[in-house]
Amino acid sequence: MINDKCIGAASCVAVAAMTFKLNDANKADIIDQDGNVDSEKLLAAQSCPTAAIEVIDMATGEKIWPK
Amino acid sequence: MPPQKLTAKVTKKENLAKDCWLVTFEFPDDYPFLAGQYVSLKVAEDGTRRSYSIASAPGGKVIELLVDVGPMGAGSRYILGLKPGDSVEVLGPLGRFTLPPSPKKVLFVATGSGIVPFRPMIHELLEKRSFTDEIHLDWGMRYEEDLFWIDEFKKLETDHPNFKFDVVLSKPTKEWSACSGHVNDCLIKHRASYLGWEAFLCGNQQMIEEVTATLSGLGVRREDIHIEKFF
Repeated sequence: MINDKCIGAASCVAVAAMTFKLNDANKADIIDQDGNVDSEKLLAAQSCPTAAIEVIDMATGEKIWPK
Repeated sequence: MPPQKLTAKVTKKENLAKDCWLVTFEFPDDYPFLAGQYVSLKVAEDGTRRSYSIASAPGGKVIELLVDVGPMGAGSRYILGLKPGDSVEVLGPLGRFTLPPSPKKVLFVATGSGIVPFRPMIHELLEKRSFTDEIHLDWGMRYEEDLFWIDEFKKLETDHPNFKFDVVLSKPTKEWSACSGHVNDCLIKHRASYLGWEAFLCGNQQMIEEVTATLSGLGVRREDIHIEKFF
């Protein structure tokens, strides 16, 4: 999560509710890295209006999103 | 309703003003959402998405999106390339910028296409909920030729005495006799106090910061100022 970019639009929370949660400052936190399947986490990142979520392949270190 | 990825068809595309296009999409089935919510459109095969507030009132299979293509980014180019009959992948409905069950007196402040989520909200308050307390919409734009939906909001103003609509132009012509400057300047002129009001702000960052500070100083509690920051 790039916290400074988060505007609290909450699309990530709607798409991957077991991974993301809004905190008291109305910013998204990761509550469980493995809370949702990879496709849901990727869609959460892609639907973020401010590209505040980066998706990294833990095995290779490759940045999957944003491209 | 939890968000879903669905396919919708473009049924209509209309140029409302210089850079603003109203695009109508139809889903196979009814598409439930709340006034003020947005959808995320897939605008490129690599998964790039853009978020747009829903401009139409809830109900039925159809939604309208108002898109300002001025930025000419990936979303603008995608919208400009759409034509009736095209299919689009829509993720939604999304967002929590919606009306509370029992709002107080409601102030809507928008700049540019920030007016979009307010259109269904205002229709809902006036026509579905028969809301009788005061509603005030202040809309800041640069030029008169950028305006759209003026007749619609003027008609609502005529039909509903509790609804007041003001356009504020930052670059008016000499003939413009209504509000000019920033929306924030006009808020101060309209009322000495907004005590007991609830505010919804959608637009550029400068407006949101200015208006939040102004309203906080004029009696609006911070928890009664609702903000959508898509700009």
